[in-house]
Amino acid sequence: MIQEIKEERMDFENMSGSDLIEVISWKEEYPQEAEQAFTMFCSRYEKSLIQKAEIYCLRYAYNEVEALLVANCTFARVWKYPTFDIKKAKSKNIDTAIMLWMLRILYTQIILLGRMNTCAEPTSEEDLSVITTVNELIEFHIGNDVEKKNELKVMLEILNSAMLGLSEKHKIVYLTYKAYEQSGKNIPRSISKKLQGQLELTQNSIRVYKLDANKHVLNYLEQTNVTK
Amino acid sequence: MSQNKKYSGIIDVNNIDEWLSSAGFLFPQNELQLARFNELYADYDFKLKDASIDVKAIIKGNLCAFKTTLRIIENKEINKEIEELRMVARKGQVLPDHIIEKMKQKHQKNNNGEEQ
Repeated sequence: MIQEIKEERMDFENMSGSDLIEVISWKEEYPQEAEQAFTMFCSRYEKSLIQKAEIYCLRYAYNEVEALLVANCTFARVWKYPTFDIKKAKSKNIDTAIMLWMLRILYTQIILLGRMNTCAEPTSEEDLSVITTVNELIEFHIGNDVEKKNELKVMLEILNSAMLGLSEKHKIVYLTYKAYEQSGKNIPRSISKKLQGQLELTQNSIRVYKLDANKHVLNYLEQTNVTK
Repeated sequence: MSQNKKYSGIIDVNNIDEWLSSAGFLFPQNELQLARFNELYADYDFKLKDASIDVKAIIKGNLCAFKTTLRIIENKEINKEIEELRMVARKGQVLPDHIIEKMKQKHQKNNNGEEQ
């Protein structure tokens, strides 16, 4: 690829997402090409990522303005740290693998939003895109077809109903803990502190909120599942 | 009642994380969860459908500084309900009928008025 750069015959449009990231990583040596690659990278993935940011932000009581900010921050992280590793990808489809990687970066930005007056610079402990457990490295290629939209909507209705009785604070505590738990990490102390300040709760209250939210959701599911 | 039958036994303690990651509450862990998200929100009316990333600002390193505050909507009714549930949970009791009825009414109301 370096040869192509030297001969000025880079075809960014037909380049895979992981190749674009590689060119971005050469921004010190080849700034112009890196910028072109980054521009192409953004135009390829921005729509999908911005829309996901809008949905995730809703869960955290953030609006679309903040969603666009965290989406920008996510791409800024890619520009700054183009560390995507296709060998660790959890999908054979490069575009899907890149999106899964970027969504972890995005979610971290949402959790850390407001801690600083700029995009968050997470520590490796805080960063959900840093994969630490063996299970995380297993490629999850599931052969099942995606359920029909109506079935998926029922799932969403159940989850929305389960969350309905939770206050915004409960919801944020619940989802933040879940995000780290499902990544095989304990919630970092810094995140816990951030929650305390942001939600105006003590450390003990955060624990109680987490327990209450868990109980509430599981109680709801239990009630739903026994009612026939 | 038909609503409850439709809901019964689909999501439980064993697969809730899977569905939270598929339905846009948590980030997806794998391509199936991502595909579910894409299908579920395919016809969602996104406010940001025409928005784009500020590539130049990112490259120049001057992405707008911002400070945001979380808009927490305190809902006294919800807090009261949670307090009731907390008390029940502490005592290890079965949920009383009036709480179950209140939850059902609220969920029914939500189902009728939910956008998705």
